Amino acid sequence: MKKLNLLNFKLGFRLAITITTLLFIILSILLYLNSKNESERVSGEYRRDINVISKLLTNTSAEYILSYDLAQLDLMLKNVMDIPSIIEASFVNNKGQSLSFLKKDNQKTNYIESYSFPIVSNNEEIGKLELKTSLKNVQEDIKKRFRNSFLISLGFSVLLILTLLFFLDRIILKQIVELTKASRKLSEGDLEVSAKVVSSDELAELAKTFNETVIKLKKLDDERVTVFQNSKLASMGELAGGIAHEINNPLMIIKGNVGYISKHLGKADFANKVKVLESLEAIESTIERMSSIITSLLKLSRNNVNESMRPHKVKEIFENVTPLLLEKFKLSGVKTNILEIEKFMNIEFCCKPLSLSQVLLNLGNNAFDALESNNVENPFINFEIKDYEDQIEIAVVNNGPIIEEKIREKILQPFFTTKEVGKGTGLGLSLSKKIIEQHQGKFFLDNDPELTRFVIQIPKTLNCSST
Amino acid sequence: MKLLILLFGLFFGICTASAKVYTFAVVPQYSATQIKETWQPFLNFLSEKTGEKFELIVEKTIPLFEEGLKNQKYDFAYANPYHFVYFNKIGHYHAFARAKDKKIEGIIVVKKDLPIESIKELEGKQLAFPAPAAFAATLLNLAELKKQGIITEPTYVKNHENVYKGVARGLFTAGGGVKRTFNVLDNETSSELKILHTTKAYTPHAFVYHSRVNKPFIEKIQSTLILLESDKSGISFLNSMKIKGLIISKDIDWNDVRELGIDLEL
Repeated sequence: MKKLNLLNFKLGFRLAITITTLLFIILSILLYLNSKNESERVSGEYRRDINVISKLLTNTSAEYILSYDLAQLDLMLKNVMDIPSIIEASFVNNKGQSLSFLKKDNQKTNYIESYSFPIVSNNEEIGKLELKTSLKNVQEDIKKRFRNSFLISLGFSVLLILTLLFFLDRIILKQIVELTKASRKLSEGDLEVSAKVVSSDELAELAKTFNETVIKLKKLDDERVTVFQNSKLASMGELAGGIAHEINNPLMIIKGNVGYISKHLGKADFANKVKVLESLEAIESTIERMSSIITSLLKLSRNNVNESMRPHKVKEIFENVTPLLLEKFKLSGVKTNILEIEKFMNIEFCCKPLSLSQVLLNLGNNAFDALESNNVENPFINFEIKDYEDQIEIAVVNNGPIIEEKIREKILQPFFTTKEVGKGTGLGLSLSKKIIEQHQGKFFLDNDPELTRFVIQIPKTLNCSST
Repeated sequence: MKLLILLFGLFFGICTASAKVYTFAVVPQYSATQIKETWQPFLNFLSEKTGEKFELIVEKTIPLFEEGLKNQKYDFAYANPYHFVYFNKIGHYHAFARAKDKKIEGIIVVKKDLPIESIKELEGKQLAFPAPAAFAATLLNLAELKKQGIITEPTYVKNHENVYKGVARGLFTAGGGVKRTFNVLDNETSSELKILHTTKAYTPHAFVYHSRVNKPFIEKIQSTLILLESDKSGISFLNSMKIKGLIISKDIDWNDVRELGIDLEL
């Protein structure tokens, strides 16, 4: 019993109470029926005894009644009164005179029965024997016995509860506790958990099945991580393809400036010095731009499936994607306000920043593809941030063609894509939705009639300890 | 040796057979045990003083005792005054002693809460008596009622206790008894009763002998009676009987009883 914890106490107690209560009710009913039978049996026995006694008395008392032998009649009644159930007895002659009468002092008022037996002599009724009985003592004795039995069964029930608790703990609850512990760990995301098998019954089978299920879950999770990572790499690959092509431009700029510097480095006039310095500054800023692009790529390429939820500023989410998107947009002439939303950058909330960057990157890429494939005039991709009291809303808006209704319904389903074969995986939006749901937020396509607007809403009340 | 034993036995048997044993019957007014406890010391006293043997006879009922007197079964008897008068008249039994300073009287009891003040009010009523021949309780009372011309309806209820209980329970208007039995009644019954009438005092029970017993022996017995009061067994007997002693009596001492004119056939 030492090992009883709250769980098996609750379950075991309920089980024990239920079984014991049922047993107790059955026992009580049986006891009640038994005492009723006993009462009837004893009452019957007493009535039979009284009949026998009365027969004896009526046979022998005739002579005494006729001769008014009151002393003998008194003696007979005195003997009769020794019978506990008889409380009153009298001999009455045929004139209605009471010849002898005896009554017990402690007169009982319950269960009274009256009897009258004729006394006959020479075929003539010469008197009567009248008796009054009370089975109160008998009934009280039976009640007392019932009460004692009831108390014994109550005690037995308590004992049964304790015994059941002991055996339930030993036989059933131990395995259930193991399963509960393992389930709790699993619900907390621990896929390494396994339930200890402590018995060899159906519950043990359940524990084994649970362990097998956990192994399969782990496998599925691994696959999910791989898919997620692949999808991300695909998005990044798409992006990087464009960036790699264009990264040549800054390299060309660097190359040109380096050539200019080496050409004018020997001419030490002031004008040339200024030119050289300008070239060096241009090289430096170009290198910085390239560095930030590469840093972003590196960060995003990391496996962020199991990143933890912590307080982060909006800035941290955007700085992972801004260099990548900005470079891409700039090269294709897509306007964006990504650098103009500075005032929201210090808003802090619980999130997984890399995962959210991944969502923004997906949305930015999708918007860019939509604009480019449809040759939209004056294309733009804007980022809108709204700071509500209870949530933060980030929307990615573009002026590409409005998504048709029939596509809107499927757009968040996995493996659905409108891109040409080999370009899209069809997982971007569905994974984005999953990431936002991990943040207990909402992800949806707004019903804006003129612009395509994907909205992310994340509650600020999110608990940072959750994953 | 065998012959010697046989001769001894024969001699002893002859000696035993020759010794006379007198029968002494006592009227069974009490239980046999009580009678034996009271009377055996008296018989022991007589045996001691006279050198003769006495056997106590206690009949089961008074009628059996009367039957015994009628059949002249007893050598001696202690009988009530009417028994004596009746059997004396026949001529078989005579008195030789009676209790000293003692008279016998009957009483009539009624229920306390009844407004009866005189025996005249008992006219036509049902009265309880122990037995038809009970001297003091029945015969004396009935004789006196008869003398006063009061006719009642007697019912015989076997013993004094039943008389008193019957009256106390309202079964009879009145009942006949004697003071001695009334005084030893249980409280429950006696508290319900009052003595309405006491008869005149009459000569008490008689110590009688059958005429077959020789006169000198009777005289010898009479001469020893004075020694009763100084003898251990005698004192025991007198105490049990609640009498002071015995005095020598003659048949004529019961003339007062004869004068009542009781004609009950026994």
